[in-house]
Amino acid sequence: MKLHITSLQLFLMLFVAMTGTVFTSFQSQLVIAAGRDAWWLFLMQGLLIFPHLWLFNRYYQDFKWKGLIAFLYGIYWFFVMASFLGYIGYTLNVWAYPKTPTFVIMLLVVIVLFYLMMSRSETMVNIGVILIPMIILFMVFVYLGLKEAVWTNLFPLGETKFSDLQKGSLKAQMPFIGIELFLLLRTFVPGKVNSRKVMIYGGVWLLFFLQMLVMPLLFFSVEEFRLIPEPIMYMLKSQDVSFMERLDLLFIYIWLAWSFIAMGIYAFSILHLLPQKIRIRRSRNAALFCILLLAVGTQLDSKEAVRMSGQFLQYAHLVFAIALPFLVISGNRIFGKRRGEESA
Amino acid sequence: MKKLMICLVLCIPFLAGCWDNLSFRDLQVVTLIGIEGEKGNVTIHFSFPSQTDDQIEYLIAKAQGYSFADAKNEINVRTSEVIDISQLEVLLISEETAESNLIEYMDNLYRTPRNRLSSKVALIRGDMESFMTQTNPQGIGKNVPDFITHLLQTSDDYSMSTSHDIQKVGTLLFSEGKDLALPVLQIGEESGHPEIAGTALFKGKSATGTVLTTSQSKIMSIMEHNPGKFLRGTYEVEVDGKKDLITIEYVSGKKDWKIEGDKVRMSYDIDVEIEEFPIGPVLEKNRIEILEKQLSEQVTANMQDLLSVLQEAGSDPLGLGRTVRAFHPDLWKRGDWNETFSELDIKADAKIKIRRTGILN
Repeated sequence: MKLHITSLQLFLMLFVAMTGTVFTSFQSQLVIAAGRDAWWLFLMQGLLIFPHLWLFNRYYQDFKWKGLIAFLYGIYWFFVMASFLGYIGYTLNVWAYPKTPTFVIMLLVVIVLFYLMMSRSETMVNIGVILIPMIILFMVFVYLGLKEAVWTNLFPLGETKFSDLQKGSLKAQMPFIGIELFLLLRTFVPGKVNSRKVMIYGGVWLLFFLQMLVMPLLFFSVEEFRLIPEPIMYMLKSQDVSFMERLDLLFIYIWLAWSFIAMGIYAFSILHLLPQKIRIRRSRNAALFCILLLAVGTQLDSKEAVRMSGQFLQYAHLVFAIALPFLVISGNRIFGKRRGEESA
Repeated sequence: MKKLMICLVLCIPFLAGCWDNLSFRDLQVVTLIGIEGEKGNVTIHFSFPSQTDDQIEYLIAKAQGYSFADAKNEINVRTSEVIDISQLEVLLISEETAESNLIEYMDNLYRTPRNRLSSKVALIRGDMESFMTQTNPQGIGKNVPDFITHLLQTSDDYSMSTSHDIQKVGTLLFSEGKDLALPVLQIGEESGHPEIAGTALFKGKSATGTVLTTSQSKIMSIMEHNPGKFLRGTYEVEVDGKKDLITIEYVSGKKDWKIEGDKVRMSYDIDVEIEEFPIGPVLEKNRIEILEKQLSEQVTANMQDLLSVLQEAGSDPLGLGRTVRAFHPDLWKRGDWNETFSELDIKADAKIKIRRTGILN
């Protein structure tokens, strides 16, 4: 039986997948590249999510998930998951478990992922709901940093060289990673999805990431971004609260749950790309998938590997979220129309 | 059985935290650290609580090393438990050490995730060891770190100096357009225990050697528009031909900085409450206007004096540079901000408004 989800479930899954892992680290790379111009550069690029999603929503039926395309996206999403896993392993090692072997941390993540993959599809669709109160709590903690905010940190604008703005534009792509999941998840939503809902989702996404960028910019000096790779975590670590010695650890567990679910959504999407006859052996496939993921993920858990995989993803995202959808959709529309005319 | 075994094996990673388990009984939790010396020959003093005969004693140990981290590792050679600085309350740095690049001594504290970023930082004047032990335990009790923490908090609450934690110190050391200013402690001649001596000014990443008095620090907090909970000052005024003292408390204020070329005009509208005015009712014979005028002149003069000290030291703890960097790029790009700041024509003007007179007229 074909899975049906509502538009709200679609947007929740997309939001978790797009925010999941990236939102802790994209700021430093972007600010290092674009300086104080980072926030308006991101705002300008972030506005592109509206036409991007609108086009996806308008033409998703022309994007056929079969053959080579399904295979390529499966490989890409697998690599996204592996790099997320490597980053999670590295980050947990640095922030929370310095003496625990990274392999054990990753194994733990993969076991949870295996459980999610073995669950019913409905579980994967709805599990993101548990994150909603956590996200609200997290935002409250981030806003505790406002008392130290220096608003002049956002100015002056226009000082960054054009070549640096270009570099910054590429770094600003990180939060967009996963947008192509819309093309697949949209197929599970019966009927039309109102453009207004797409715009609201785009607005929520943009507001979330803009806050995640502006808050650290108000809090840290630009020079500090070179030293601090996870500014949001550092901000939380700086907060002095009476109920907890290290607020960053609480956030790390929230972030971990967030990342688990984000990876679960990618795994869910990959499983749906598999041919029906392979999909039947679910537990064996899930186990093999997790072992392979662990094998690749453990190769990506060093500082340099995390940096390299992040850079690769910036370019791969341009291919899989922009170039390929454009080529496939326009190809299918042109050739589909011709075939229609010929058969007529 | 097979399923049980699989479950057990799969549960092993859930014990991940065990690798990082640290038991308090194996640690010597340090709450006060003192740093002195110079790069290549750093001496670190550690103060930590120890339970003896139902009493908590604060023991001290010191170690030398090439750097902070080196000395920190060196101390483990002579302590029965591993020194743990994750619960640090206060970090003290000698004035002389702070005159070199401060980040060289703080990087370890700033970088290591287990360390507490909310520990207070202060400079000390004099012998470091006298701050680590209690020469006058009747006065301050045995818990020196706790005393110094509260002393720094009180000085911040009463605007007598700045109060920064490790994170804020790091941010200001890397900041463009605002310099760090840290409280300076000294052992009081009469009390024999640590007291606030003033506020040390920094230029870039190093202390300048100039220390503001507590009165100047109060004026600085007004000019920075960042006073503590209480800000009180006593001034001499002349009313009806008689000179007497008036004590005022800051209620609220507004600042307005105008920057045109090399000229900076800093205007402050300050609302105050009268705390002490033994002459009598304030409202009599247009006294409010007379007092406001005299107070405005004196506070303006204090501000101007402070600006002279800051410009001479080449230190900008007010954060004027942040406004210049953001909105006056021509001035900002003229060169090193600390040098530019020293050469600017800065004039301050304070307008005091007596908003309240307490429960007496």
